[in-house]
Amino acid sequence: MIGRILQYTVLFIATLFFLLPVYLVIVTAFKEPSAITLSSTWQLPQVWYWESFAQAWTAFAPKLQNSFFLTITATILSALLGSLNGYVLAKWKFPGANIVFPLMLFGMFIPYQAVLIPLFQFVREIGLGGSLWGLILVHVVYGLPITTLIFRNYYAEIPDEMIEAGRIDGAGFFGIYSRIVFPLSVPGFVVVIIWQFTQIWNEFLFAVTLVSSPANQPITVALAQLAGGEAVKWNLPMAGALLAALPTLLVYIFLGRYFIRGLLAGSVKG
Amino acid sequence: MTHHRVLTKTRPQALRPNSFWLLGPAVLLLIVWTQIPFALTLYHSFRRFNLLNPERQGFVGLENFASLLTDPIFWTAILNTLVLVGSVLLITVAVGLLLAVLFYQEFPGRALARTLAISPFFVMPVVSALIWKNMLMHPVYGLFAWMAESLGQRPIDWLATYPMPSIVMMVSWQWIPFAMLLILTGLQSLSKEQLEAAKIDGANAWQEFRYIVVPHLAQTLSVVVMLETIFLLTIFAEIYASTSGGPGLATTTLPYLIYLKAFGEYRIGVAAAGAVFAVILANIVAIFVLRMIGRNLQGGRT
Repeated sequence: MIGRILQYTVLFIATLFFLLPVYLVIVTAFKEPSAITLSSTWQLPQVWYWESFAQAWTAFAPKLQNSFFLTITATILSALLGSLNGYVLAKWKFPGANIVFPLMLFGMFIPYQAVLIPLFQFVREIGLGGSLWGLILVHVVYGLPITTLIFRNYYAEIPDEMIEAGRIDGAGFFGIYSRIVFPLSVPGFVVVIIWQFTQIWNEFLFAVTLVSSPANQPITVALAQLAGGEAVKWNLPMAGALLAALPTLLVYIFLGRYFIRGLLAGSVKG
Repeated sequence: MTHHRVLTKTRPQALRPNSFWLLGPAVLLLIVWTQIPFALTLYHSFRRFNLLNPERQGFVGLENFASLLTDPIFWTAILNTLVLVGSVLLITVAVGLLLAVLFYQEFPGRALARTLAISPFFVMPVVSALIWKNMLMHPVYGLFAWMAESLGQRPIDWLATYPMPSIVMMVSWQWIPFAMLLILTGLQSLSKEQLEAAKIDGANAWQEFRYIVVPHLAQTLSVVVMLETIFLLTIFAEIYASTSGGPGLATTTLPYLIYLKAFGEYRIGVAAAGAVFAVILANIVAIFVLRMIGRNLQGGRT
């Protein structure tokens, strides 16, 4: 019995330590600026102060809007294109597919920053410099390897007989895709959409280099700039961080179960 | 001949390249897109391209690779990367496994506790780095320093004194929930009957864990390790926002070195060559880790 109590005490303390950073974000967001002092960092706010959220909302609403536009557009595009690619690679084995696939996988391991400058120049040359569309383009291109991989492994499970049956019924490439493959893809789309949404929503480096004008900044860049100093009043950035965490949190609450199951069902095996 | 063809027709699509080429071009273009990230990197890795000296461009063969291989910083960065990835993998899988086993049991408030346990996953990496750096580990303003002083100890400047362990802790903290969630879902597919049977056969808790739970999780663990490896090998924002690779070179990993080459020295060719090495390293690590898991875990199956 005493062993049990000890075990739970240890676990409890470990959990507290583990949750400390999240706890700090939340309590700091609810404190008055003048109430944020070092010795009381860990304490609950004496007065719950909601004003920071209103301020953060005014300051960050346009950036959140940018992030939403960017993330949703890039996620949908990379998911749709990845699904088509996966279909081709899984069901229309063309000559050279065995070379194309591993090369594509390499794309997932590349640290973005290596070719960021040529990419930046390219985006500027095609007239998308500084705009959100440039950033969307880059996210789609860099997202395609992983979305294609997930869909290819997912579609490999669809029996070839179904494709063949569609073909016998006279359906062509896109007919088979839209009538047989796409309707079966919902779990695959859930995995890919959550994955891409979280990635793009949280992404920092592309955003900070490719988008120059503050009006087009996504939330990550704005938050990092606001919280960059050492002795800033932390209530505002923390309230902003909480606002920025909400979309990914909601996505996980509603779709998380399918996401984890999809990942484990082998959709990401190499 | 026709008869033979019918018999061997197990993979119909392979016999139908014609219809593919009819609608091919649009589709092929899509496939080409997936090659851009690596192709672009490879292209630049063989060229000289320095923003400070843009006139001197051109093919330089393996010069960029040689320049990196002879640079002692490169090897330090590789070592740092392996230390970071290895430590974070070990910690996240171990703690994730522990938490998953814990959350597998029924106890009051489990749903709430589980939601709390995955909350680090929702803090943006950049924000997380800034919190750890300025609110927790800072030698003057940080909570750890305050705790140390309250206990009569001298505060430690964590990021300066123990840079790599601090980064490992920050990154592990973020990735433990991910490992836990995947492992927990893997556990839930374990049949209770099997555990019952083991108990009847007189297995103790450890034997049950070692010979039934762990082998059952082999596949889950390899998925966790592979996905985490992909991400950990390219970790950048956390280091950029907390230590900037320092002090000295203590936390300069390969991705950070690539960043320094590209944005500090404007040597795009060298940075691209670094990225090619990163891809090679990723493959070596992935193969090595997956083999190790396969051997150790599946070996436990009797």
